[in-house]
Amino acid sequence: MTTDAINDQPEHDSHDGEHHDHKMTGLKRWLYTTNHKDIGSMYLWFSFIMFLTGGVMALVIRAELFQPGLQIIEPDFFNQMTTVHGLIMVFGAIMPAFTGLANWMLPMMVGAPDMALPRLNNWSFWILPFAFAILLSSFFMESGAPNFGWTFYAPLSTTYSNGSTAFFVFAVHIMGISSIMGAINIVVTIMNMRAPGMTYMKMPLFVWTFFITAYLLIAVMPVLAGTVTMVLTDTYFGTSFFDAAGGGDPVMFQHIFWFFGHPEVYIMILPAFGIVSTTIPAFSRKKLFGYSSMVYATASIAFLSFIVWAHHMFTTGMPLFGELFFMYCTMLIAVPTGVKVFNWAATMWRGSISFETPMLFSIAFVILFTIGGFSGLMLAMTPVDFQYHDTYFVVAHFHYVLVTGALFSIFAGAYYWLPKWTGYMYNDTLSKWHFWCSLISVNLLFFPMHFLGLAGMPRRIPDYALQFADFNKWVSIGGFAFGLSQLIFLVLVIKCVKGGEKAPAKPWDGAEGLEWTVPSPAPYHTFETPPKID
Amino acid sequence: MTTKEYESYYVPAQSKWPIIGAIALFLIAVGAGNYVANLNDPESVGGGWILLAGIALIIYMMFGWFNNVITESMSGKYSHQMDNSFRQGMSWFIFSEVMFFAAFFGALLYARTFSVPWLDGAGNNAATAAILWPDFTATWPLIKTPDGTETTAMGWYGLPLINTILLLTSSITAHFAHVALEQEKRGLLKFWLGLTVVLGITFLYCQGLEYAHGYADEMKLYLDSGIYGNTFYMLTGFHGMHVTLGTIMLLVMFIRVLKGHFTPKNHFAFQAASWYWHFVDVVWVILFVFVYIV
Amino acid sequence: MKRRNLGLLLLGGLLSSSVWADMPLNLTKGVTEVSRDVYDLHMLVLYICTAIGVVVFGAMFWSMVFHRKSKGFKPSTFHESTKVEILWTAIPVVILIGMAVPATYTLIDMENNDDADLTVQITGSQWKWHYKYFDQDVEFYSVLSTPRDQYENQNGTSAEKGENYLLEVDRPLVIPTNKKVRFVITSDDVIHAWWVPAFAVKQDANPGFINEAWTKVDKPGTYRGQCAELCGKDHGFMPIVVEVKSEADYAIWLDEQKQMKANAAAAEAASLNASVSMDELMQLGETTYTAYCAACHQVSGQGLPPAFPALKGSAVATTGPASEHINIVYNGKAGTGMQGYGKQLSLKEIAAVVTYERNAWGNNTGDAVQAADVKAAAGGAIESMTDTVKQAAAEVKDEVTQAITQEVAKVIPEEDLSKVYSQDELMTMGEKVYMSACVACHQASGEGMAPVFPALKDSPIAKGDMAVHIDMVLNGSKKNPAMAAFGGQLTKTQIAAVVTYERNAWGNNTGDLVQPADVAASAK
Repeated sequence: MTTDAINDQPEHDSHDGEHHDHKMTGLKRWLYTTNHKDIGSMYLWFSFIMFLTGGVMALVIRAELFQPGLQIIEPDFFNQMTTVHGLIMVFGAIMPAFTGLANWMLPMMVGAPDMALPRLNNWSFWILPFAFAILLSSFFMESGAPNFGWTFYAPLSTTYSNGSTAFFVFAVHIMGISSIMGAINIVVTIMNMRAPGMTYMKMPLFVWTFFITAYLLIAVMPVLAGTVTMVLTDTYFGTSFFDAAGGGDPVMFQHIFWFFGHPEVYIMILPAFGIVSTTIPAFSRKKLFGYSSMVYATASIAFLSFIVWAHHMFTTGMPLFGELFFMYCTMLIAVPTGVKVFNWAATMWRGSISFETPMLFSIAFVILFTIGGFSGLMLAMTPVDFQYHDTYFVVAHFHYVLVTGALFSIFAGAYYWLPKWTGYMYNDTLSKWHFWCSLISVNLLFFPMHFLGLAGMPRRIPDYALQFADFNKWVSIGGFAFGLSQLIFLVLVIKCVKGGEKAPAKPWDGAEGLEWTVPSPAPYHTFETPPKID
Repeated sequence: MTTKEYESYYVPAQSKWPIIGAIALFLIAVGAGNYVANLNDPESVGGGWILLAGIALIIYMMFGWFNNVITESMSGKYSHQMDNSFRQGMSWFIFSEVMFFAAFFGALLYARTFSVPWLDGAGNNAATAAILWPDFTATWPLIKTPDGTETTAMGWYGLPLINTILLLTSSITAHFAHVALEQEKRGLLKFWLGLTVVLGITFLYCQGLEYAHGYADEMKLYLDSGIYGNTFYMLTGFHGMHVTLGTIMLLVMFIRVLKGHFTPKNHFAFQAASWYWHFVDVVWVILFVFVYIV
Repeated sequence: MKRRNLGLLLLGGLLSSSVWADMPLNLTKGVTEVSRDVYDLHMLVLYICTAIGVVVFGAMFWSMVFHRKSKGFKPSTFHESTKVEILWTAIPVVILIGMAVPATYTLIDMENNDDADLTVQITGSQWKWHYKYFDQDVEFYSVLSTPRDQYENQNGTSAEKGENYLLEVDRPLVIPTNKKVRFVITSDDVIHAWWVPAFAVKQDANPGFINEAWTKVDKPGTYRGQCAELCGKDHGFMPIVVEVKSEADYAIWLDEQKQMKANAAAAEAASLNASVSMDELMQLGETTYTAYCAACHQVSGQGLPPAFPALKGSAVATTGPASEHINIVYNGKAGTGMQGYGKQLSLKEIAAVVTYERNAWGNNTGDAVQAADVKAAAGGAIESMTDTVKQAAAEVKDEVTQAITQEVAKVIPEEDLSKVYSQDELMTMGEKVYMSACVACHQASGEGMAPVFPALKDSPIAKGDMAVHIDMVLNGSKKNPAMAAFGGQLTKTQIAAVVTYERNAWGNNTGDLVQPADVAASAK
């Protein structure tokens, strides 16, 4: 990686006439960039801003639910809050954060100079802020924002929706275009850009999980596009896909939506598996246990995700055969997921463990995600699901999986690679504060929700019966505490970007992988001449 | 390929086209959203113009972006590996298009096998038919909906059959054009490629005729004529849009051929357009079977 | 969004310790066999998960404690074992099969909707439930009965919340114990879900399709649930209450319902001829508006635009013709959230609510709409509608008559016209007859429901000429069609008793005793 190698690159055509290894300055650098690290940073910052935005909405929800009675907002606005909170956290926070990690790390991990299609990469990113601008602008429209839940079940989202459905639909469309292009880029980078000698089974597990995730995205985001298109025509053009009067079926919406939606759930968790499969070996100073079984388990989960969608729909009146089929398939998912958890535990077993912040988040991930997995197994049992369905038990379940699962893994990844990104070590005390505050508050926030659900509190209600009051109070306190804890992270990252103790090329003694062979911060261009893998 | 010696991989410097593309998509989404949300408000015209501006901008972006890529390619900056990236990217893009159609085929098959028979009491839905839709009889094509809207089914002979023959032929001619290109027979290449474009345009014209028949008073087959009309127009409509896109791609390739572009070894764009054409052809065959015949 | 001092709210909330009812910490066992099966399954999975959790987390914590770098523990190098991998793939499969088998049996049981003793159609709509008993001709809406001032606390005020806050309705679903009750569930608009935890029944109400579920409850009692599928603005405000009664109590309840229905039909017919004063229209209108319209159009009449337009100053409620206004209220407006209330409200109530909307909030049109106007304006739909009502009323009336006759036949096997009864006997019997045949209209208090159903207490008829009174009961009123002739339905002894009762109850104290012979004389 000499300067010669960089200068050997042919001069770019073009409108700006600049040499490509010079960063442009100011806004243009970010608008016109084709650099995977710049784009990765933009994805990560964007997702954090969206995380805070969606978080504020969650706090509005928790403030309203602090006490019984409608205290602060109207029920319709409450529904807008739950809907947009869900959409933003899924499509605006978790997914872009993973894409950001992929952008930053994949080329470095496979020894490539950049993503395979750098311009397309920048397009994928820049669509997102515009898509969310459209979605959020509906708050300022006369009709208000979407209020039909992030799952937008017809006919609440069609015949009975407010006037902003068209904007919601087109925002999702361009968001989907962004995701599909991003995923194609990831797939092509991994298939085509690996350094010589890096066979598929030598790829870091992180790369594997993103590879499989990207396939899921390519397969199901177009289905989401089809779904919202049918919602659009049902709402505005008189079609009756989801209307029995014309021969359609509202339940058909749910089938098509969840055919997208269930793989989507794994899109949000498989990369998390990849991250902790990187961090746990690093801080256990021991190779990942059962690498190949981890790969096969990830692939099986991805495959199963296509044939379990209707477990979200057990109460819709499916035929008995369907209920049984989807119950069995769903229960099967516990097998590969279990293998993963066992492998992580076995990786730690007789390792030499230390508890740096990435490791703390990873251990919390394994335990809390597994709790989310347990409640998932309970939800898979059709007869019992009749009791759990659409209660706070479900809310507890998917927040354990997505917050203490996906989000904690993202924090683990961020703390793991932050020195590589900024070139500085972050403030360790602050990071520990962030971890312990988050850990305690997140459990205060989500654990009591299990009991609320079992006691019979439905989800998506702005007010509740008196027996639920005590628990809701504590949940709300946990919510505010968790929200405030995230500001510690913001301060920490800003401080770390500005300066601090210089980070060595490899700050973690147990870390493995090509990304630690380059200096910290990683140079603007890495691996223009690929490394050789043995 | 990973075991091979690594070629230099071209990473373009900054490019303005992605952000222009993002703004274009933004305008399209805002414009389309405004246009659709105010369909019933004749005084609202803003949405349509924003939409057109977005489409114009994205066409401008495509010209600029592809122009960059063509220039880079022609000046020999691209490696074999880059060519692979493009090919794989295009194949996965086509796969994503397949999944988009899968959603609508899914809706069609769901309506045919589940919702329509259920409304007539099939499966565990005896009560549905008895209590809610006592007068409804399940048929496919669904020419009378549960709420009594009547329509006529589009037969498979006549225009649809002609269209099938047109598209199948065009797929073959596209293949001949490809063979001619690889054998460096430029005259034949122009002929076969030109013929493919003409067949594509003829297909679109016939499709238009068919729609005119459907919307005429004898048939009363409208987009909102119940699930049969919905699936018929949405599937053939989205297919028609893809044929239009494919025809434009082939047309651009034809112009580039006239300008002397492409070599037997280096013709990714041509191949991408040709793949895309085969893809719309395959979709049509499935569509012809499930929408028209069965 | 109203501004409010959040800090104060938080503080206040924290200090108010557990004043609320205790919440159960586990899934309910419920009151049906199925719900107990479901509970057992729930506990089974819970125990299995806990056991696995203890083992796996135990191993992790063990290594965290003992295999630490800070303790100088040197890492091992093992990182693969096919044997172990196979083992921890196979064991979970076996456990899963152990869970799937009982789950399958329970599910098959839950989905077996055959051989029901009773079928109830449940229809969800925004935001209430409608229950219809098959083969019984009983149907009614069930809406939240918690007063608005208990839950609308945005302006800082709050009425004290009742025990069953948000879990109470005006008319609960009533079902008998130990009978297999089949629910056929559907919806009028969006998807709702009918859920009663104690029965382990949760079934989506899909518009245009019927879903089925069933229950068989062991224990009488009141069971509460809520709508479990997001259905729009007031999703949190459409509770479900089921009263499970013993079979005997259920039969009595069913009779009462039929009679109420007959009376309502009679009242509907009577209201067509009545002209109601503006004051009374406005009063009834306001009550009706608050109960049925205010959720969307708001108490202030300003609505929640654009989904729920304002009525205050709106064209429909001011300058537009009253007939159009009535039509929208009666039949609803297609393609909007505005449903038709023709099925739920009486003609008089619709007249009152339209009057109210046209005169409240400064709309001041001065229009007073009468029931007859509603009938005229709602046009064809209402014609057929009233026919159905009439027909239904006629059928119900027959049934009631039959029921009464049978009951009466039980009490007095053979009528002896010459028998002379004591005042006590007459009053006891009279009260019984009154409570079954007259009370629905004239009320237990004898105060009636003016103007259609006049008071009997202190009335000129009940305190005036005895012959006129007997004639009225025997042959009905010539002026007021609502007063039916009871000569064909009641025995002469019963008529004698009820007339005696009416002339002496509620402080009428005429002291008159009417004997069967008097009635027989009057009947000739």
